[in-house]
Amino acid sequence: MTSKFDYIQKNLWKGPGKLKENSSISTGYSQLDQYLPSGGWPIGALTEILLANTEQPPIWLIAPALAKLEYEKRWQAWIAPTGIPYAPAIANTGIDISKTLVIYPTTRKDLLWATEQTLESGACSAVLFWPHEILTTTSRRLQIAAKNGHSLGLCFCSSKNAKHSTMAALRILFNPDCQGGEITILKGHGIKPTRKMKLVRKY
Amino acid sequence: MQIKSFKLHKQTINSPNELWLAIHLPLLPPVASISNNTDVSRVVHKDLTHKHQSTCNNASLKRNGTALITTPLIANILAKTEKVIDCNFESEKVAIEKLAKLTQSWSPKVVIHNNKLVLLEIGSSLRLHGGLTSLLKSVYKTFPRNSFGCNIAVTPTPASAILFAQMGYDIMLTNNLELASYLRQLSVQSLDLEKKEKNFLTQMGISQISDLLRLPKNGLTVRMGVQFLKKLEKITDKTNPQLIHKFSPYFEIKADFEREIYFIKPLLFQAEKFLAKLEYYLKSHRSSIDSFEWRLYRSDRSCIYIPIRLNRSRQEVKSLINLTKIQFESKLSLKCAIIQLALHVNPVPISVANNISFLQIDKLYESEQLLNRLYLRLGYSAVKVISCKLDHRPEHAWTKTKPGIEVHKDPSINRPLWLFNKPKPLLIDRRNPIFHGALELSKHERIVTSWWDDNPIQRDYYLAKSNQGLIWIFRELKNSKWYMHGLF
Repeated sequence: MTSKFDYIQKNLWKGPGKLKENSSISTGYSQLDQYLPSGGWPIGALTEILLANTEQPPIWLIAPALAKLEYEKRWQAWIAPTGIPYAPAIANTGIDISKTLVIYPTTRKDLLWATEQTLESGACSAVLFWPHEILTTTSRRLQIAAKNGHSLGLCFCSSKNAKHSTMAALRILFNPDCQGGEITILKGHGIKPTRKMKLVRKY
Repeated sequence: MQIKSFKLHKQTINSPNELWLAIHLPLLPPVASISNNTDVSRVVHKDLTHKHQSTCNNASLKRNGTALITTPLIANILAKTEKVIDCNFESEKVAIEKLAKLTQSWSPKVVIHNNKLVLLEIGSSLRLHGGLTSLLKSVYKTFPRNSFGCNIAVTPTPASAILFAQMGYDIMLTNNLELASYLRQLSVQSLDLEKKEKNFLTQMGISQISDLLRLPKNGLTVRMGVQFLKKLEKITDKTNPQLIHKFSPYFEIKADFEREIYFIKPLLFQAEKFLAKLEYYLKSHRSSIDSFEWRLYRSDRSCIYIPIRLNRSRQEVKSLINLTKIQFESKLSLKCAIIQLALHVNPVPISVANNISFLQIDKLYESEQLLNRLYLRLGYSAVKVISCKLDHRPEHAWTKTKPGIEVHKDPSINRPLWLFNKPKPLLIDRRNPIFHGALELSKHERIVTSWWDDNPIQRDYYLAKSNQGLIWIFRELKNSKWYMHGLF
């Protein structure tokens, strides 16, 4: 009886407060880690990064976390990237490019299917995908898939979708600037939305 | 002579001593030779090195299963009263090979003897099958006594097993002493001897093998010859002169549906059964597969071929039902009904070096499964890993390769993390490039290369600070146009 109670107490979401440490990975930017509700990018969850132009994703923002996940020796999948993850520079960040899968689905249906498969398989530590837009039902499926596969799901969407609600665990709006970028949290566990922070990039 | 019929004793042998099992199927050749539209056979007549051998299901001859008729005359006499069918060697061979293939699950050492007898070395497989009793139970389940006049003999030597089975005895002898005592009671006529030799032995008053064994070896060699003595010794000798039969590794299984199938679900149900059978086959034959093919026959007799390639060879194939489902869903329209499903596989033997059971199978398995699924749905060209390439031209300094192989890593500090699929032209303001405002240029790098091939480049690259972040831009030296090539 006591053990059951302890279990419930441990796992009960108590509103404001940080998630367990092992359920996130540091972003590589301490300032951002403190700002994010889970203390980093949430693992086993879907994170939406909303951009004005999805063709210009801030890879520098996620590269340190991807490099840290490399120790897991799992695949890291980039699905339907709008550009070229440039191998010489990616390798320089510490990401194992031999474990970096690049998947080019031809249709949107295949894109979502491949994303769900990679997230859910347990074979990928991180899944980055560019669906342009994501619907509530889709995001729910992907969120569950990421949870089942214990993967870091990173979705690069157009900022036009910021007003639509999704089931992603974390939603951030990123606006680049000459020093790095401005990050606005639109949704996150235990925090109030529309908080803003300015992140200075390490060169 | 008293030889008891075979009885299943509760004896279990776990020692790896050599033990041979002979399955004699005397009525298999006539059955195999008869085509479906022939009347019930009475006699099969065949010419074997100037001897006419007839196999008959006539009651008097059935005792021994076969009767050897030494002259064509007797065969012709029989032919007048009984129906004679020419023997079909090919179909006999196919039939015995089919039956012998079934026995491979009990032993890897299988010998086909005279197209009528299958010989197996079972001593080394007893532990695997839970002892002799349980192995024999499964043998008798596959070869019931009433099928093809089947006789099964288990003895410690191959020649004695053949001898007992051919004589029509169901017997189980597990040690040499027992074997010797039973052999002594056999008639010398049962031995595979020339007619002259048999007559000579009769003239000498020798009727049983025990009489023969009492004679001094030297005297027997002088009178009968060395070959005769060798034949005699072979029965009690463990040396195996037989050639182990090597089966074609091809695996084929098919099922006809009673009703026409219009849905994928029943097909998958059957496919799952086939994969389970295939997995059992692969495990019992120490084989693996790296591809397999489904063949679906439509009611209009056309066939849909669905090949499935795997990214590595594997033995655990039951789980491949998911891949099958993906392929069936994508390739079958099922406008025309399916009447038959077949699975065709060409297994390859597993080498000991490939045993990876000490590795983290689960992780490996998940990753292999994922790749297979992606390949099947999206195609091989859609799933790649990135690799570096030694080339000064930025767009050629990377490549896409097959996942799982060693990639070339050549990390570079001064390159952007993100390259655009095509360089994007930049607007010019007072001879300076602009991108969301003015750019602050630094780190100039000139790349002039590949003048010797079709894609020469002459560019001045710059690192530019913009309102949208750090970008990589270049100016074409030929026409002084500015382009944005990547994002840091």
